[in-house]
Amino acid sequence: MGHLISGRRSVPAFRTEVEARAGCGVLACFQCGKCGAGCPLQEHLDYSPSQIIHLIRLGQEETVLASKAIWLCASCETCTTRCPQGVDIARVMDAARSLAFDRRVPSAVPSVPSFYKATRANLMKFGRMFEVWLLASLKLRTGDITKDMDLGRKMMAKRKLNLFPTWNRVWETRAIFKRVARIEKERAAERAADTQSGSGSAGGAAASPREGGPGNASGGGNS
Amino acid sequence: MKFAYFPGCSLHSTSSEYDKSFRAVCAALGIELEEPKKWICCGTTPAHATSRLLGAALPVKNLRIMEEQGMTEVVVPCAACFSRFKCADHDIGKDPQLAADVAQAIGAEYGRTVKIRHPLELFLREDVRAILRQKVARPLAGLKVACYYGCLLTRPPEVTQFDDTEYPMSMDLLLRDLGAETIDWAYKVECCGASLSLTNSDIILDLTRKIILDAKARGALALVVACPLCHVNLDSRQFQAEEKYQTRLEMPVLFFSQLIGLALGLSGKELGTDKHLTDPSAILSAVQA
Ligand code: SF4
Ligand code: SF4
Repeated sequence: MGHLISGRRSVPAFRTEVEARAGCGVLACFQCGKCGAGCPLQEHLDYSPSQIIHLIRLGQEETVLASKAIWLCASCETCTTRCPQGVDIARVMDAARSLAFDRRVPSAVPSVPSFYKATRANLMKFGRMFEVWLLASLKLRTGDITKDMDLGRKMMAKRKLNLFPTWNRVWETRAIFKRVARIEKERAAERAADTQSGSGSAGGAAASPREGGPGNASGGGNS
Repeated sequence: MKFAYFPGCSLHSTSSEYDKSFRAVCAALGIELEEPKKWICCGTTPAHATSRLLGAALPVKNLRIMEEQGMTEVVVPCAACFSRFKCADHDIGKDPQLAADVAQAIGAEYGRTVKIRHPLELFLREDVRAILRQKVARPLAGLKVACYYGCLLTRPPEVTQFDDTEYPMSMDLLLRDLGAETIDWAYKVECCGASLSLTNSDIILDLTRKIILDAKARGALALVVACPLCHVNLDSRQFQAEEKYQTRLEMPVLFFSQLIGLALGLSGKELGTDKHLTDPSAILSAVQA
């Protein structure tokens, strides 16, 4: 396990950006470690969920975005369910990886963002998952051609994979992806403006627990 | 009784036996299912992990499609789709800014009129349960199984509003009604690794092995699941775990709908039990004997 603290800066902008993306604050965390204790992936992670939360509070952007943990989190919601302080850790993990994804930070587990990209491309092409296409495009992205060939063959033999796609609301789906990207850009610009004018770091509001009412859900930004 | 039915992508491909058995059971019980026209993927992890807004917009788009088609209550067998629907619906209810952004993203206002149900909830409704009890043709007596709920059915509880979050019993009660014995075990709500299946199968095989070994040690003859992703990891990847850890697991993994079907007297073929990669014949002969 690496050193928790690297570099000298502590940047609240990183924390508030993560909080805004998560729709939940991290300041309520009192480092009890319960989230890590129940995490099924714990032994495979470089930083435990509680360490990721703490790193975010400390503004350790590079360490968080370069961690394996943010990509290996399986979104099982155990941590979120058990946190005595109402921190929605699973969403915070999502927020951190979405930030790394948007900023194209090289991933410590590159196959995961490749899988996200391949799936997103798949949905924009077909509207639904078309597994054969997805698997092929994932192989091209990761370069790991032989992975799961044994499984693929067996699933083919049992006719568990469709050989032909169906197309469903492809244009509507693409329009959703496009509009989402546009709205997110607008929100990010609003947050940046807020931070510059100094009003965006109202971390107190963002630190309220996940069931703390709708005010909490908009995080530290765009109020 | 009639419900909207959202199968999701997996039930149209990798877990078509879940689709087939659920439909067959509903038909036998006189429950009508109607698939919304032209539904789209719920977005699953690649959507919510890259954008909270996209992760909410895709499920809400589907709910809006159902609302437009006059549907008021939808049954969602895939635990991942179920979780995405519940989360999105919960979040737009709590966060007006997110709700406004979602409306803009899908180009429509969704009135939150569609109720979201997992089939386990459906089968535990008193009226359905009564019909079910009546129609049992082949009680599952002597069948000792481990009910595996995985992560997304019960978590987080304020979102899914389904059963006990740490020790759910709905599937156990349902199968006990049908005569089966269900065991008390430690991995009921542990995660199988779900969406890491395609990218980090090493981790999946580790989790698969642990889950199966616990069920085996406590004498379960089969695992019973309610999620297509769990099924791929536990059934279809089981042979890989056996190869990797040089051990024999030989644990049949069935969908709960297949067990209901067997109890109702339907044949394995009608329930798609021939589709599994891990041989379930021990269970089939135990039930049919
Ligand atoms: S996030 Fe919650 S569970 Fe995790 S260490 Fe902090 S207070 Fe404890
Ligand atoms: S949601 Fe992620 S971090 Fe939380 S317990 Fe599950 S795998 Fe671990």
